[in-house]
Amino acid sequence: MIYSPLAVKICGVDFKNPVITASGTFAFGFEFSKLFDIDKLGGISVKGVTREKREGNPGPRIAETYGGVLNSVGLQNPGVEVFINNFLPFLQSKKAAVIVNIAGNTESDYCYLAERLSGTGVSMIELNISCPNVKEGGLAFGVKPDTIQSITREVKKRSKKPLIVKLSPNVADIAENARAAEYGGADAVSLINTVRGMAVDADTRRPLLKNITGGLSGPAIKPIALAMVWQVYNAVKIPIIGMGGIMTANDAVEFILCGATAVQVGTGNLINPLTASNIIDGLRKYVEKNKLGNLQEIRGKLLID
Amino acid sequence: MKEVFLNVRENTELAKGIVKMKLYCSSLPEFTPGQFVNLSVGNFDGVLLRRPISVYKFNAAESTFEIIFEVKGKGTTFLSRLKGGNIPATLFLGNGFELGANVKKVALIGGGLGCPPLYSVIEKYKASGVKFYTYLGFSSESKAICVDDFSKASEKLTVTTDDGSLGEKNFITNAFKKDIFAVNPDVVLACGPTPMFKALKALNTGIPTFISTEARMGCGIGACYVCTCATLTGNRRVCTDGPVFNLKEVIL
Ligand SMILES: Cc1cc2nc3c(=O)[nH]c(=O)nc-3n(C[C@H](O)[C@H](O)[C@H](O)COP(=O)(O)O)c2cc1C
Ligand code: FES
Repeated sequence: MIYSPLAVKICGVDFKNPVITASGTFAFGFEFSKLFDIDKLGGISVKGVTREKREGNPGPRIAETYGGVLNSVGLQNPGVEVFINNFLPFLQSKKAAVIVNIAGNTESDYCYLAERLSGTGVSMIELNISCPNVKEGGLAFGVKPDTIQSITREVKKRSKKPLIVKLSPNVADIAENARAAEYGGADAVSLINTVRGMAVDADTRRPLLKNITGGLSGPAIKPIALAMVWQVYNAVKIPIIGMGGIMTANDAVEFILCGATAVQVGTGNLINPLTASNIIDGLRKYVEKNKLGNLQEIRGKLLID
Repeated sequence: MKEVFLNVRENTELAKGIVKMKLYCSSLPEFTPGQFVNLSVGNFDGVLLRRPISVYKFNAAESTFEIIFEVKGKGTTFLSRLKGGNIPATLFLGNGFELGANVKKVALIGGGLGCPPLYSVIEKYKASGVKFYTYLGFSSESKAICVDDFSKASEKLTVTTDDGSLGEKNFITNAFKKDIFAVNPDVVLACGPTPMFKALKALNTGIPTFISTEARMGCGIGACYVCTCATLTGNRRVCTDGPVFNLKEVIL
């Protein structure tokens, strides 16, 4: 790989920069490719894929809150076979690492998906046990350390791809959960998924989301995400992919200072489709300005007196 | 579809709380009537999401287009105050209204802020001899918009209001019902609130009817699945599979 001050290897996978688009905000890459050259991205984490096609929740599925966005999409996706046949070939023709976010109702769903995707050209698998918008599965596996450890172990056994476990912030102790994922054999952790939230209209006396509650994302959750990345950094040895409210290169640097090896940009893509691309440019300027050989030199180097 | 910067050329208050803006961009992409733009509201007082707004008029020669929107919350208040440029925006989005070559007579049915996008259909197809019979409904005269433009361009214009302050006091779908046999349109195009679509469905006209739907949006380009519309073939994306759907297909 050509030397670049932004390049980083995560679990053996080369990323030309640490900027990955977050699951659920970038579909399977095709739409955004009409607006900018997605070859530029370090990676793409695709919309959560399930065994069978899912319709998701009824609308409205989005509401704006102060500095944030609530969503209750509920994992609408075409199912793993359609993903592999219709969407993966396009993604693989691009120069970004392909991370497949997987979700299921049962442990065997997750295992099936990991096994099925192991036979394809995807770069990594991201175990989504942190979706607050589905009734079964999802968060049910992602709250308690023992279930996190066991599902990670079972999926890891069947996965030939590096396994990222995506952690929920809606838990008692995220550091303990990260450790459980590490014990279970996770190659990396990503955090945070959305924070459970709700919005109400005083005039109509109704919730703004049909689903009543949803997941909060965007700048409003950045302080929560930074604290959690920092806690997890101090608890595990495996790489951390940090996210939550990243809109600018400086936001990304803050996550790296707190210990993240790479970052994901989610809601930022919705606010401006060029956000991820602008962050990559901004990071390049940051390393120049600070005369860094590689951005990774500042990973976890938060200055504390 | 394209990501651009827009300049505000004109910014006028059409009616109380309703703003018309003319926007310029040096290189506008192709436009289909019924498409919309997703306008950035900056990063202003906690407001983040872009605002999807449909196009009223499109002028390729001037490289401008016009939008009409109601000032409702922080985002639209911010937009209503804009002068000059550069507003980041994605355009033009969605499928829009397409008329087949055999369509000669069109009934347009608009409700409130749903009226403007129908005008872009007239703009495109009038020259090819298509005749338009237009039905516009408003809550009251103070909220009536675009009436003169539609009046000039339509074979016949009918206006109703909920309070009778302009035109007949009636629902616009009732006014249309009275005319169906006399007008006998090849196709009906409608844009307005959900109750209007429900009333239209209840008319059971048997005439092909296409409606432009609304949903709160995120990306506006089909990548986040938040803008859902329930249809007979499952949940579809309003921003990409729509905003125009066959009325038959939509579960209202
Ligand atoms: C509309 C939307 C859909 C999402 N869908 C998924 C998903 O399918 N799987 C997943 O693991 N996370 C999903 N997320 C969570 C994001 O990947 C990310 O963890 C979260 O939004 C925090 O990052 P952000 O503040 O940059 O958006 C979704 C977020 C949004 C806003
Ligand atoms: S607004 Fe994102 S898919 Fe429609």
